[in-house]
Amino acid sequence: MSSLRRKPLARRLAAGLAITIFGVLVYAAALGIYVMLEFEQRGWDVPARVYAAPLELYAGRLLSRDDLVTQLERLGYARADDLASQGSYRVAGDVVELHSRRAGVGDDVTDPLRLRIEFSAGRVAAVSDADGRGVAIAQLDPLLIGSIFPAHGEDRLIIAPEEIPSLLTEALKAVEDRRFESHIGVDPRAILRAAWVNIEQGEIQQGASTLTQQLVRSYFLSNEQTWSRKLHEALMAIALELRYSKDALMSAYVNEVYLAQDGGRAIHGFGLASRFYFGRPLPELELHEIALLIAQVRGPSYYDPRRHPERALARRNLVLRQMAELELITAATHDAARARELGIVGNFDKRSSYYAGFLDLVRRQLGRDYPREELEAKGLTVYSTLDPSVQAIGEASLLAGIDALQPGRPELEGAVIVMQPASGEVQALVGSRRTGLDGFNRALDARRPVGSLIKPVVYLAALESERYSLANLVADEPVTIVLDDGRSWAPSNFDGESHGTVTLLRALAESFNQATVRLGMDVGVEAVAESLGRFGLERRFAPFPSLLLGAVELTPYDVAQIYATFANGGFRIPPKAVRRIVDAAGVTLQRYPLAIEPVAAPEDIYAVNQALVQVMERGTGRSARTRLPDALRTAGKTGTSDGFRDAWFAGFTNGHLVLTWLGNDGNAPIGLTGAAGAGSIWSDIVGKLETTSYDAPPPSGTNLVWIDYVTGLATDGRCPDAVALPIGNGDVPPTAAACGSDRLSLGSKLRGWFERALQ
Amino acid sequence: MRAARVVLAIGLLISSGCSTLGLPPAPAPQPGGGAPAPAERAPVPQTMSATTSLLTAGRAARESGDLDAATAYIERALRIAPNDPRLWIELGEIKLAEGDTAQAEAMGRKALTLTRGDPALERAARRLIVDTS
Repeated sequence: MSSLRRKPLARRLAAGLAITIFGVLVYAAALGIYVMLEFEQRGWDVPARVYAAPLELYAGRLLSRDDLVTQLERLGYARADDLASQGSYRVAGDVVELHSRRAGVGDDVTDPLRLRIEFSAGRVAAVSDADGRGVAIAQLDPLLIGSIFPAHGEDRLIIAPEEIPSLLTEALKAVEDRRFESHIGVDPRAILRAAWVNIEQGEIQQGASTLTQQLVRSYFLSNEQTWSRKLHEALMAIALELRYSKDALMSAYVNEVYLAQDGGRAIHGFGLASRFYFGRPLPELELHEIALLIAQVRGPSYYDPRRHPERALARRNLVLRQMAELELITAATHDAARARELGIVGNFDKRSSYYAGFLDLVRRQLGRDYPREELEAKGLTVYSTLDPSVQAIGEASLLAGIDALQPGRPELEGAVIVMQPASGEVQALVGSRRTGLDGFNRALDARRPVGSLIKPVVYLAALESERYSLANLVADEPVTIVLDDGRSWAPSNFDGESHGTVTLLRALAESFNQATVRLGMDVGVEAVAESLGRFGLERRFAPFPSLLLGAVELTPYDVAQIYATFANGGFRIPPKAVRRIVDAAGVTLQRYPLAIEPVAAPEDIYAVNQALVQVMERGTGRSARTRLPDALRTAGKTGTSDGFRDAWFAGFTNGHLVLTWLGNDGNAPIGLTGAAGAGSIWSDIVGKLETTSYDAPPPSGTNLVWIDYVTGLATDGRCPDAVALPIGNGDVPPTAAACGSDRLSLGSKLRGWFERALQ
Repeated sequence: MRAARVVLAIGLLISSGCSTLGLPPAPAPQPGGGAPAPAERAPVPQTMSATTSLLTAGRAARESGDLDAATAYIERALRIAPNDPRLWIELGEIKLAEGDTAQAEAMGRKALTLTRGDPALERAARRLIVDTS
């Protein structure tokens, strides 16, 4: 009866075992369902990719051969004499030949092109195709500038299964998981081997994780090395293997694995890592480059090729050796790859390739129309307006300018915006001197007093009152305004002097405060506030007299919008950073078409713009002007806020509006005028842009009269101080007997010269 | 329509030279001597064939009813030649075809600031304004 006595115990054991097995099964099943649900969901989690505007090539374009080469290098094109593969180019004398890349997604693709571009005198002289036929205009594949990744900072660029180089997958198996094709998610032989090593070493040192387990860890788990986590990981890996094919798991791995850190941005997947380290798409990588990426799998921080090049090189060579051992590559190929340098793009390229400020603007524009989940997960393609060359110029000029001006001042910060006025497209945006980092975007969010930048609006309001032309005179004399609260306000001029009776033209060009306040009070502060309100800023302006001298806080983006409207002849165009959005199948979801709104009479805007040209020729913009080529005609305006806290410069050519701002985040005085601070950076940028003179014609039907800059009398166009202004037929002033400036005394000429030199 | 979009996407146009509008007229005479000459950095830009090709393609797309493609061609041309009144007029025609009379009028007014007194272009620009009022 021993069996009888034992039976209850056996029954109890059996029942306990059954419950345990049942529990484990339920747990495993639940885990499996959880893993699958998460995997399905995450499998579609693709941040929107954002591309720069494509480079347009056509005869007549201002573009030097070297600038094209720089742009090709930025796109990661390789110099190759045979032009056999996409993304290659060669240079011979004044000719660049290239083989562009296929671009786009789904049904919305552009085919690769073979182009021959001939240069002459800083311009494209001719563009032709492989058969020598002339090409009117051609577009290159656009530069990938980033993605809209979620707040937790994971960024990736999804590679379709057919785009994954087989060398990469074979090498991954060779180095990380040799039995990947046969195991069930875990590899007991590898575990035993690793366990032996770990026991021997007394600590967990060697990993035995399969690629599937690594995938699970990256998807679901923390990276801590505990036995319970390892058990979870194994169960989840088995669950994945039961549900998905090896190919699906491999593509997921290639797109999921963490490979680098870029500040707050975690680089996941080989697609983005390829761009991050080599500036080129994954399919174009060579063997030694693929090996370096695989080397990162074991520790992106430890094997960081930028910070620890020796370790990275050793690990890369180990990868190459293991590939050779498995005969994935021949000994000769191995030796050749091993002899190569790391070949990563430099730190500067990396930093400048993340356009934090501009992407912030893209995100905001997209955010108006798309929920965040869609942008972060639906694999959209966003075609933006960024011009990478213009952006590089803006960043370099701001940094160089700040470096030069910084000594002896509180910490300088700055912002740059470059727009094309006629299209409203933002070509470049710099929101900080720390260009590659997300953070406070001063270009969009720093609200600062604009100082004299407001003055063109005051003069516009005067013209709109129909009581003034720019040839009329105004007293630049001390003025006292009694404010509503009983206090009085007596603004002075920058140089502390008053200049007597001056033309409106000169008062604006030389930025006289007293003349401007007198004019503004005569026209009415309400009228000025109303004019300002038409420029599309999303706020109202209280009509205080101090508004006349720019005691109004605007962001650089607001100011750029105002000046772009002037540059565009009085037609407002809301600034835009995105041209088009395409879904994962290549279907266009949205276009942002050009829309314009007339906000002021073209004749009035034309007149103010002529004064803004005189700002550059004779007024406060003269020092900035002297750093530009003589033949380049520009229009612009300086702005300096009270106590030298903000230095502004806004100005335009035919195709570019450039706005620069300098200040201190804590609002400490920086001791710089708009001309000296922002103006030097502005002219540095304009001098490097491929741009042409501001040459808008007078609007149809405008009556132009030559006016003497100083006296406002009608004069001869050959006189040195003659400026052509639109004047109504009934208002033409009397004609001077001689050129106006001849009648000026030497003393006042000298005084004028000093005033200008001081500004 | 699909074909037009593919051509657009390819982003490559072989010179056609079949433009119906010629070059923009010379600048209107300025008062006095020595007009405020807008000097270029280099000799006359030869961008006309690119602009004209895009204009021709845009017009063809509009006439075939593919207004999205037409818009894309003309906007692309405007980025190259923002002061070419023909492009603003054509964009106005597209807006008219889309039924957006306010934008058509705005484009007409913008074109009028750039015609430099050319009567044919002025008529075309004014038509956009009259048509919509």
